[in-house]
Amino acid sequence: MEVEQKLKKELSHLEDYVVLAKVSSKNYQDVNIRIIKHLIGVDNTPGVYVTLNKPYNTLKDIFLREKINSKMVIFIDAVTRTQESKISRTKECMYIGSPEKLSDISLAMDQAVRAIPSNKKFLFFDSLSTLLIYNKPGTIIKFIHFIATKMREWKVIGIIISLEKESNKELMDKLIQFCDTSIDFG
Amino acid sequence: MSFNKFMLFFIELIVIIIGIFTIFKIVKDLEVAIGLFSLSFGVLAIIWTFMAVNSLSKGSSLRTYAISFLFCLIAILLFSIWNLFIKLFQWEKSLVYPSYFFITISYIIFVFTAYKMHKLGKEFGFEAQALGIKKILRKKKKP
Repeated sequence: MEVEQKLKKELSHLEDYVVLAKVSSKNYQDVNIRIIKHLIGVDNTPGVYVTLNKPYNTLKDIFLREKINSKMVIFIDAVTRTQESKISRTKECMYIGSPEKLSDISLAMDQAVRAIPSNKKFLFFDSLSTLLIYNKPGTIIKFIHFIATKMREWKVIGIIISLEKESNKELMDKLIQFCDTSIDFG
Repeated sequence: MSFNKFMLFFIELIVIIIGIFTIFKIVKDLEVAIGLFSLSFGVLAIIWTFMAVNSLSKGSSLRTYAISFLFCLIAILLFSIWNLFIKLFQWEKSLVYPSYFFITISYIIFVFTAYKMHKLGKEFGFEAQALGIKKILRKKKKP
């Protein structure tokens, strides 16, 4: 089933929601782009993209290639500074030191979401699996619980991406209870 | 507010009132009593900030700011303690000077912390991007 159809089918009855999107590594990029395309292109919703996987520059190129208006998105990049520590903040993107710095990620998300001048907005978190490499499962559960609660408080469309095979089942089961629904994009 | 929360708040309030009353009852000198009273708030502020530092991620901007703020509080507390000792033991001359040192250090650390705050605001502010999004949304709304 197409990503857009799945999104429509599962989420059409919800206004603000927190979704755990499970994707296989094969379809990871394609699904991410389709979700973003759906949110920005179809729904005309601005939002925040938190990337722990791909550097902002790579994402910018992908967005350009896929004709997605990247100006509708505030980027929070927690990857680039792990390689280039001296890169400084730009107008388009905020760089966080590393995916371990959960306090900074939370603060940046809070500020970015609140800054968006629209009632309808999204928060795209990419991805849970990368978070697992840098943090203990217990810390991740607390963090995702915090994010899910905050997403409801901010009244945003929350999408948390997780690579299916890389996240352990026990953790996923615990995390699903914090979300409104989980969608398996395969 | 639930009943339990209200009761907890009520008990805390009574404990604080008893504490204040005890300080002023035991210590007859008003200046010393006020000194002790303010010190208790300083200690509480340090405990809370210390707890915040421990729970924030290592190396994060927020933690660095909290650490700076902790030093500010410690310096101010040292100044208050020294001032209290001056009053209690009737210290004079050279023993008074350390209090000037503590207050100067406090202000220097405050300036450093304020600078950190300024940097934090710059780093975590998204006004420019928000303005860009606003313009795009406005354009799309126009027929």
